[in-house]
Amino acid sequence: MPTLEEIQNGFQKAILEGDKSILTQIPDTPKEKNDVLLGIYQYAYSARLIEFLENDYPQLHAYLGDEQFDQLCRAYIAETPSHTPNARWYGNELPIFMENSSIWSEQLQLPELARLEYSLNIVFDASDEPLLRLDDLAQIPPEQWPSLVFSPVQATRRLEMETNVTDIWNALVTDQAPPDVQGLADPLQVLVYRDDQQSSFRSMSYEEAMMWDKMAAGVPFGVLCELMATWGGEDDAAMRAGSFLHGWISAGLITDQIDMTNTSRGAP
Amino acid sequence: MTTLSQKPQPLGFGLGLRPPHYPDILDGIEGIDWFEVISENYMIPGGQPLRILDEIRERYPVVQHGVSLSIASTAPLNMDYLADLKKLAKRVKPRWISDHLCWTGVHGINLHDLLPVPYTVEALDHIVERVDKVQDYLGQRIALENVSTYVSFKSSEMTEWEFLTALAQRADCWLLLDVNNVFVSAFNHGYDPHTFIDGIPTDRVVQFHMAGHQDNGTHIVDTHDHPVRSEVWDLYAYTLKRFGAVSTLLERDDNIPDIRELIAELDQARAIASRLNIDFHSAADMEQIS
Ligand SMILES: [Fe+2]
Repeated sequence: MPTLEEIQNGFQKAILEGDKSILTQIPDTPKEKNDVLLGIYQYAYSARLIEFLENDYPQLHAYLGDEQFDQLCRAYIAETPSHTPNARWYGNELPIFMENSSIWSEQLQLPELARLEYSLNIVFDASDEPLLRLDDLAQIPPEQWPSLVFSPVQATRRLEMETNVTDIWNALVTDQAPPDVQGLADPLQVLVYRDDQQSSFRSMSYEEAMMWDKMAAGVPFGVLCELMATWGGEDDAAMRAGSFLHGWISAGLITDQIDMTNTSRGAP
Repeated sequence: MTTLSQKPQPLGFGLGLRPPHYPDILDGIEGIDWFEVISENYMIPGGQPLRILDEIRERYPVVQHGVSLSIASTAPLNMDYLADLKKLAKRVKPRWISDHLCWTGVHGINLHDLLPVPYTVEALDHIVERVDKVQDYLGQRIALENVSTYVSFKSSEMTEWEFLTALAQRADCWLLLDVNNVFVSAFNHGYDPHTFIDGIPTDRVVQFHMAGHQDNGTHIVDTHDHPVRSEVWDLYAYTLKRFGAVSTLLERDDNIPDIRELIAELDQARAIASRLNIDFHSAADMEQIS
């Protein structure tokens, strides 16, 4: 008599690899052959995973159409068995899968569309964190400002798009025909974030994007101002930095966890 | 651990919580006594789904229903999963937590399906031990649900209802009796569903599931995408007669209709209960008094 472990190994093999050895352990029913019945589980496996991907990538699905999206899903599923107990995370690797695939990255807007949808999904149910308020800032003595390190909330993602994929997404989501794909001379800087419980995104100027990225990397505010002066000119560099920060705090993009660096520039 | 006399009181007629219905529910639509939530859907870091769940659990009794416990798997229990489940339960404070008598994968892989178990003594011993560990870890009894099965195993040494009964008694857990799954499995394996119902101990069942299925002629598939079939309503009536008032939940996972259609189906269940003179409310009141 086979052990429970042997039965489960055999059954999983049938589902993942189509190896039907387990059929010797499965009787026919009065009305149906055992291989037809085992086939219900084999069919359901990919059908269910495809459904997860459809939920996570509705605009990519719309853009590719049923047939191509199905092909993409099956290619992903063949390479990516699920290691998560939660269906919500199964599709997380789809953008990487596409970026690494010669077929699916040939049209650059495809992995970019996947990456955009993935980012919208991730910020949608990212952690709720206590936010920094403008009032909190007023409490901080001016001499401490240069050493403050601000942190973006987890419900944000930064993207750089080399195609007009955001226009494509905007058309798809309103059921309009997507525009022709265009390569961009300068990558579009995008911030994906959560606004009033819904995922959203907007473009950023190069300067704002660079300041955001440096801030997210832990660079203190004083150094951010100096970098702004280098990038965009000395004039009112600190004011530009302050105005970006003000905007981010007002939009609820910065946590209340402010760090202080105690080594200011020039100190030993 | 609780004693059997502390079996939770019946909650009436509830619905599986599904996002398309959030607006109507938050508007206070009437006709739903309680909600069952899929635990995994809320085992997420934060955001709107958890906020909505917080609001709903303020207004309604809620139970948690999981799909990935994989209690029958020969792979080790996933302690990260259990930690997340416990964390959610701390937030939701569900009336009870359920999952399925099934396995979902081995070797670290999740097949995301409710896979069938051979009804052997070996499997029973294995699952009893795991239920024990899970209940200890969660600090409460869990309820396990009979699944729809399309295959059986030659090695089975007992019937499904004998297996469920022995499991509930030995592991001291609750049962969630899915009446549609009884119907589906009975059809597929060629036995009388009434024998199954009669074989389940009444003092262990805390919840019923009702759902629609798809009849493929030689076999039935548990699809949750149709209204409940009349044969399954008949079996529900038979089940109610045996068990009395038990929290009844309607599941719909695909082709999700307007919530009013589902409330109309709940009213069908209510009508059957009242035709049989089974009063859920006085049963609940009596439990509260005792
Ligand atoms: Fe069920």
